[in-house]
Amino acid sequence: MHAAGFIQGCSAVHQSGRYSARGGHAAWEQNQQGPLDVQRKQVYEQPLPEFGKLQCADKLAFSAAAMLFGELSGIDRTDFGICLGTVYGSLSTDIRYMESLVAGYPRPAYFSATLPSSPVAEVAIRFGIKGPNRVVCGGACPGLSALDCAFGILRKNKAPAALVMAINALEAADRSSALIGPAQFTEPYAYALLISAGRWEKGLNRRFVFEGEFHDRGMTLAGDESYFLDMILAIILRRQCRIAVESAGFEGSLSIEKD
Amino acid sequence: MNDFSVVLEQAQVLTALGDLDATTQSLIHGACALRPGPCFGADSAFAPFPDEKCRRLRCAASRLASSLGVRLQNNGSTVFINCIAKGDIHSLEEVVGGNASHVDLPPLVDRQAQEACAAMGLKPSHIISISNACASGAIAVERAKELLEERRYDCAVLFGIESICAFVASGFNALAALSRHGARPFDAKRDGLSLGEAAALAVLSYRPAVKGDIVISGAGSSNDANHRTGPSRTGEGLLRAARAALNDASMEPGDIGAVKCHGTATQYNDTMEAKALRGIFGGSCPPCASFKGAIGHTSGAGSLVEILIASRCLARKTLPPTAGYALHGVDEKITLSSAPQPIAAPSILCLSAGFGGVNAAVIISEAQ
Repeated sequence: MHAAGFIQGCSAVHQSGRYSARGGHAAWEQNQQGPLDVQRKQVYEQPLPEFGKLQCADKLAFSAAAMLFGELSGIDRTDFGICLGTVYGSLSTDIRYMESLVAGYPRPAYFSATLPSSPVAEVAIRFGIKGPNRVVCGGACPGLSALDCAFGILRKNKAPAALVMAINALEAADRSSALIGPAQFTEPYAYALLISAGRWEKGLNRRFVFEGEFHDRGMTLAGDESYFLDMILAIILRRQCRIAVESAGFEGSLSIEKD
Repeated sequence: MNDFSVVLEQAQVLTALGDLDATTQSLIHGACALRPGPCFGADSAFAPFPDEKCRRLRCAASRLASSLGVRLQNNGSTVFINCIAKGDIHSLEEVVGGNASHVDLPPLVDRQAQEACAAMGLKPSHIISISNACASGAIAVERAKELLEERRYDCAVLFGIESICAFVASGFNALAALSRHGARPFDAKRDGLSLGEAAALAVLSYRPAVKGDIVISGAGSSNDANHRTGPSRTGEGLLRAARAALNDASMEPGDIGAVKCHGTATQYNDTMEAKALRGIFGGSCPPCASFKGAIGHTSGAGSLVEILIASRCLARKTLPPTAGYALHGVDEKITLSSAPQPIAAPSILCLSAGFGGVNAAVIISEAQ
């Protein structure tokens, strides 16, 4: 598999801070616990009273998308596609809903977010994105699978651009919950890339190449998908790079070419 | 059709009405598998598997594979696409019910795909779980089509299973979306959906189609960008998906011989869908049907199950009646019937929609 395109925007909400193509890096406030503690004003200028009520995966997805689109004014997003790769899906929200069910008061607001695709809904509604959708859940590298889906959409000319998101969202309390067995967890994150097949007149236009092969080497939890952060850092620093990826689900590379 | 096409090589389903042939035959004869509730605590009619063992993934997967009568290919490269709407909810229920000590990670979506492959003796090159709510199956077909047309794999195996549980039944009940007496798609007295259980298996390849083959002619998807649980009031999203599928197929609306509707029998869905159909076909809507009044809404597996049933209907050139439909209950003049309808042109447009505003459309055609 070989795919090439242009990155028109990028962002990350990560334990080490928030990142975006033009805004660079911003550290968390001293009293903040990281991605799941992100504040609306740190990612989105307009008031959004619902922000605090968003489930963790939805909040991370919204935050990453808000940072990315906050740097791209005057573009029509209507026909864009959205491709999401999610490690745990809606597991935290599933637990919240189950708790409400056991308590005898099943909450519709939780139930409607008990879907791995829930973050796509949040982003589509808030940013008016009506193009094709793909949600890949689980596996060793769901974010790369989502990136692969995005190229599928672009190659078939189904959308002028695709928002690719890789999300790992599990509430801290759920990691130590008796409901979940012993496991190694990676810190929550959300990465977002906006890719197009061709150059844009007033775009970021960082050409990148995605090549390699997907395979399956048994069940595994995804790693931290940090190759996305490496790529975003290279874009921010206007560097070229080739990031080798060797995981249980994919072997290949992501390359950012010279600016 | 001498050009290469994405061909439906094999298909099988298990529904409340039986396997693929039995389900198709029963639907055409007007059967309804809905039984009175309670449905996992909800006062609602539902359509469970006839054999409770099929609720277990391994059992359903091995039955599907063995009933195809051939061993699935293990030579060449295969992508396995699992269609799933929810996450690890069955494991959560096991823990809460005291039948398991905890939920294991990786979550169900991985385990489900791996278990299905093991049960079918399949060793795919790559496994993907597509999770786009109740449109998962249709979007899995769209993704498979893309991968096969790019010649990334020799074959795509699509699988989905939906068994009802208290988690899902209580959720739809809390949303006041369930019908007490049974789903009546597009009917004036419709009052909600009925849950159903089903599993599906499909094998797709990319080769020159020969006469009689069922091919995936086109596929498209979209998002309403409107509401988390309710569909767009205008039908614009579903219309976009249908137009994308027609565009992908290089077809015009007049090429479509019938429509397999999403048809959940909720007020909003059916109203929205009827508007979308008017948008697609104007005043010349071909015969339409929803299967959910007979086999229930089978959620993550649903759109794949219904596409495969539609493929059999296409081969028989007959669209089943819409179970539960008696008195037209939407403003648009779409051609629904309580009797079987002939399919005049050799293509069916299969529509799906889901929570989060997702819409998907798949066009299946019989090669001439």
